[in-house]
Amino acid sequence: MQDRQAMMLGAGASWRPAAIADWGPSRRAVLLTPLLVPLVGRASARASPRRVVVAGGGIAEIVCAVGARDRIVGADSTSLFPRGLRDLARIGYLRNLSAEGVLSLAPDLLLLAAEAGPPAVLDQLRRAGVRIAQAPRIHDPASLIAAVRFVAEALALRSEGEVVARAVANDFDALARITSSLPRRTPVVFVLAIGGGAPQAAGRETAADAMITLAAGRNVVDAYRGYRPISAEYLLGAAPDALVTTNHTLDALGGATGLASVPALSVLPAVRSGNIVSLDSLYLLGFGPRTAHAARDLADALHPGGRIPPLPPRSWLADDPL
Amino acid sequence: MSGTARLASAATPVRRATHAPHLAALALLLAAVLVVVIGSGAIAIPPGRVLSALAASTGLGVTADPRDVAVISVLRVPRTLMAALVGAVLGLAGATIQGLFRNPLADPGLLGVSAGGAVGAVAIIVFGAALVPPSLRQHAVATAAFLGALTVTVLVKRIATREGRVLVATMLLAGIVFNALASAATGALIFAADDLQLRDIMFWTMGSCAGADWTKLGIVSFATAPLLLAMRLLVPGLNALILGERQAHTLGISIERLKRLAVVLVALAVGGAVAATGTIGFVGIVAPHLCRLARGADHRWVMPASALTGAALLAAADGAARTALAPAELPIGIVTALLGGPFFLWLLLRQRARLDGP
Repeated sequence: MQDRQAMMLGAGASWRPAAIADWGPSRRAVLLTPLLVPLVGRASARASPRRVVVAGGGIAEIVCAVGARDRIVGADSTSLFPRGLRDLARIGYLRNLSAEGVLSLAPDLLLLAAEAGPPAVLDQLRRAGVRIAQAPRIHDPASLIAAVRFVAEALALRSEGEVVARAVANDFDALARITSSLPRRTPVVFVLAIGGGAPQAAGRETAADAMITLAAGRNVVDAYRGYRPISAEYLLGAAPDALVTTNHTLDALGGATGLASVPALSVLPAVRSGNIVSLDSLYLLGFGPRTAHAARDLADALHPGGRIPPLPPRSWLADDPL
Repeated sequence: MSGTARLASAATPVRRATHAPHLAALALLLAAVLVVVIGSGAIAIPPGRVLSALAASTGLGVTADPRDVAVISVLRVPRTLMAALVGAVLGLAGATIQGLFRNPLADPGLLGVSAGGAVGAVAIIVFGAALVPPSLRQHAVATAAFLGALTVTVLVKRIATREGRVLVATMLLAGIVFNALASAATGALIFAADDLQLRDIMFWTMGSCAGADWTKLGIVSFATAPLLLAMRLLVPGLNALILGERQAHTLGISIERLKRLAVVLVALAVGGAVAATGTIGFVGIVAPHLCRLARGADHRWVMPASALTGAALLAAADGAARTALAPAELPIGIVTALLGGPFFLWLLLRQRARLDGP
């Protein structure tokens, strides 16, 4: 990861003279560039960035967790927690960023999730002299902890990052100890967004699948990757003990009664007995510092009877007051 | 052109009542498709148990495995009947609109039905949680799609009506304008949507019969019944229109009444279909074409035959959507496009050979 960052910075530095010529019309970019050059000159001597723009809900949560929340000047539309981030300047959707929108905030660091793009825009921003740090993909506890360290490093808050990374790692270890003692893994299905047609169920290599595994559940849909509309009869045959969904989906359907009126779900014993587990979608699927706690909450719902003790409280779990 | 000659001869009622055996054959084909489709799915249920589950769910006092009953009477039968009903409506509406516009490539989409339905549905997918009280949410998308389809069609028709006359060419152009406006509105809503809503929107626009239950089937029957029942009333007028508006007028047909009736009935029926299953393409063009290829353009044949063919096609397509990639389910729009695309290409190549000559 260090290598990757160094490489990115190196490339940025060598591009600089050409970039000013390319970016003629943007005065702001030209003016900013001299300010940025000292930052990228030597990675070790980097001053800590003061104007940070983030894209990616999990990354934004990490920035706040390491104590750099007051440096965020802009965020993308998926950065929704803590609530106060929604009041900042919005730079659009992380997969569809616009160069000028980001430049208008005059950031000295653009912190991105792996999914952020499009690459052409990131290239334009790099050439305009914006320092970009794009975290590697987060898909399990190890990559999440690595992302915490990556973000802290980019913010020049290494020791704060270390504290958060250790705490998150401890939370996952504690959860793993609890779940490893459970007698069985509950068979579950995760459904998403039921727009009048077949419910879409999470298959392999999805955030939902990863969360189910962390929560000592077993995803009954292992025949495909990603989220796809699922055969009602297959679901009935797979006989999940519980149905997991997001508050967002449940809300769109008008609650549990609405969900139970979807034909494919109405026939499931899990739905008939009211075994529906619903959590906030960013909390459940966002893969940020709160993920261990979300997995613990899911495990608690899948293994009722108080067998899953709570994890220690952490400062980054708290949302802003309404 | 030989096509015109064939159309013209078909308009004169020469062969009376000779369509009946062929229509009966089509009805048998539809019945066969329904039997096969209801008998197959991701859960294998042998034919005997399918029958006893059917009997049990109709309350004949037969006992059957409750899981079989759930699969047959909750999952397979309502959606298969919905597919057949929607297919019949799309086929019949396609034949009607093609006759009305005297253009074999026309379909109800020209009136803005699908695009209007999409605006309504997408608006609720994006803003439903904010606008609709929870108890009404489960039917909100379908209701909004229905209202959107009707609204746009009524606007198109109103713009095309001058001094009590519906101008077909103006209607076509107004339809194009409203289609563009509706797509722009849908685009703006998509821009405002989040990831989950985008998935919903995407799958809605590809169509699915998976949401069908007996209540929805009942509601859609109400919207579609007028077109299916009034089919007979439209046939003489559409046959006369083959000769041209003026000729039809001299034959004593009230063209204006025909146009108004046809547009309203089609909008109502296709609006209901779109509301229930999302937008499903190709059936409205493929089914009437198949029928015309088989036995000419006489609407006494084309209208009922298109309904039966559309029903059989869509029921079969839904069966394929359910089973082809199980446990995943294909959107039905992909299946109909996969069937319809090559068919269209074949039609084009055939037509080209005829137009270019040897």
